[in-house]
Amino acid sequence: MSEAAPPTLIRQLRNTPMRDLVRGRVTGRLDVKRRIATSELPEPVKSLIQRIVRISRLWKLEKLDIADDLIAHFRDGLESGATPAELINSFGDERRAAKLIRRAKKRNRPLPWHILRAFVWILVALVALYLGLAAYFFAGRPTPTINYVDQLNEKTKRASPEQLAWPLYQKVIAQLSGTEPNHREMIVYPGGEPDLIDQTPSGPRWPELVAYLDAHSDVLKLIRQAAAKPVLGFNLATGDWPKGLPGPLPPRSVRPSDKIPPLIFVLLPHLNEMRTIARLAAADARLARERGDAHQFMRDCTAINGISDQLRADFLVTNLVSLGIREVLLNEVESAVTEKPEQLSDTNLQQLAHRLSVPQTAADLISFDGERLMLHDSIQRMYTDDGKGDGRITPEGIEYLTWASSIWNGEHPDAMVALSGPAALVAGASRREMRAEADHMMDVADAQLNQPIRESKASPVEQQLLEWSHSPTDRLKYALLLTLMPRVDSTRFISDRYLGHRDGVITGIALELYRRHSGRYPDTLQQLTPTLLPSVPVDRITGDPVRYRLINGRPIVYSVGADRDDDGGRPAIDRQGNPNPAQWAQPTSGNPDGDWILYPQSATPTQASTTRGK
Amino acid sequence: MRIERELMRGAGPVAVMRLLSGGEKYGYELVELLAQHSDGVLAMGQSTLYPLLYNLQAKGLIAARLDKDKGSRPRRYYRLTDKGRRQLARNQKQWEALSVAMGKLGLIGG
Repeated sequence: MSEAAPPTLIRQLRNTPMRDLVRGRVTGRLDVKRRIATSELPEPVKSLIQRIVRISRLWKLEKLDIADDLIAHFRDGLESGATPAELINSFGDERRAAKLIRRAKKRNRPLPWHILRAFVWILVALVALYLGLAAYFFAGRPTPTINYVDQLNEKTKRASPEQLAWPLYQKVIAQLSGTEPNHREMIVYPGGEPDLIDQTPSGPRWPELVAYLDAHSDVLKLIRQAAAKPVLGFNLATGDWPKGLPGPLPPRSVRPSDKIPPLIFVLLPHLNEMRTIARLAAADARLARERGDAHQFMRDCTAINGISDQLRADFLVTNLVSLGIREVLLNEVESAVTEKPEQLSDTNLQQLAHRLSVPQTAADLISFDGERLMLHDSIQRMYTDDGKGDGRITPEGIEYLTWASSIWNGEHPDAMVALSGPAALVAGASRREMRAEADHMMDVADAQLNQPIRESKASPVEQQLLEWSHSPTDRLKYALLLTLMPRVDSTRFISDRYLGHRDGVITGIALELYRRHSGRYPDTLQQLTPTLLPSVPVDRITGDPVRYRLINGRPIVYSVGADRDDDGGRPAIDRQGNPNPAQWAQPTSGNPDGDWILYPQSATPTQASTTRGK
Repeated sequence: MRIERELMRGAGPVAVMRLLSGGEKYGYELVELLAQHSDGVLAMGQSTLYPLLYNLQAKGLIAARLDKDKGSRPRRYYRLTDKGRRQLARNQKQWEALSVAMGKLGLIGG
């Protein structure tokens, strides 16, 4: 069909602007081809204009503008006497003209179009970047090379068989397991009564416990032998994820049977057994005290101390069990000094005081070494290794992390890995960054263990973790540390609470020794130094010397407590009426009124009622 | 004499704006005036002129109007805007300074 012929309705509709259609008019005024065809210009000129307009690939309205300009231009040229050939020749390169016209016309487009265009280009660039990153991300594979489980077992490997306690403990466990009741049943006693193993001479099942201990004197002898060994010798090993345990399945890329076993799969089945063994030794110490057998009591105390020392290694949880066993010992010693001190000689008391006084700070009780190695092992399983200490996060790494932080309940997060992984390459920390930050955080945590809580109330580690958790970018960047860093503040709190109680018991021993030699208790604790105490212990909440007074002729050693106010040894009771002794918070109305009784803690309730009565 | 593209890229827009400072003009008229006033030195192919006009329009230095009254056929007239006038004044000073500098270097004049 000729372009000059009257257009069909469809063609007219196609070339009518929307605003005309809205007004009910079918103008067909955007029909550029027809506009050129009806221009009455020579055919070669029409063709030239047609080609330029077509090549320009602009909007219809823009094409119409160009067509109008060029039609007018060539008409003016022809009217001035030039021939079509001269005009075509002087016009220049038509392709270049179309290209330049297109570029210039696009610059004239409205601002929203430019914004949209920029947005589209950015989107395209981002998609291209994402696809590139995705390819790079999915090509990465971790190559763990260091066996950290072996490193933790090194001490056991280096020790001679005679130095190892675990073979003896295994015999103990085997012998206790085959008897009635077995040692596991002894620690579960229904009805709200203390477990059989924790019975005291005034308890209803004390005779039962005495009979059990008498029947197992050979086992207790074995325990004492084992506790005297310098090395525990429990060989750490990985195990299968316990069946039926709630939580996500372990990552497919990490298996307990890996050639380099994952530290996160190390099982610690010995901890419960060791705690029970220590409690059994404590029960025997109580029996020895009841029978007036100081020698046996001292041997049992030595055994409990030895068990605690053997466990002070590996992971934080192991250290906390070790500390729990120290508390068992502390309670037994305190009961001995407060209830039947005459059974223990001066030498006995001095030996106990010396033994208890060994740990000075939380660092002597707790170590984060296992947690540091856990972080190192996690990093080598999450990142590629360029051989120079650096690398990038891998799909296996994301899977490992999500598993460790239990985000996806029991599902393999393939889809999430696919989407979030490449982003983690950009937003996440590199292997070098992660390792440096992990070591820095662990260094700070270790340093914190040497510092009393009162000197830095909030741990920089906890503060840093809190800051990261509030930042969307840092939460992703340091997700590993947010997941696996140990809780420093609560660990220090537990340690300082023990050390405070320990200071009280040592002071109590010194007071008992003073009473024996002077016939009465001293007026001040200063009178105990330096003969019986190197110095008066420091109140762990205030940094001042601990307080001391006699109530009903019995000594009491205490800290002024969280309210930093001397309440004369009246124990702090919280709003619920429970003893709430050790708090380090700044004095506010929320802090419990009253003191933190350091010695004797077992007599605290009685004294509390006495003091209140006064 | 034909001016190289790079030089023309700087001189062309200024020349067109200078011509438009005397009043509005249409495309072919500009082509002819450029050729006449510069003895053909600044004559530019129409393939260059129209993109140049559209660019100046995009920058707001010139404005266009479609005149359908004169004769039977439409023609687009271009005129200098206030912004274009200020830009021309600045460019004129720069060209003068450039001309003096070139003169001192012995590239222009005696």
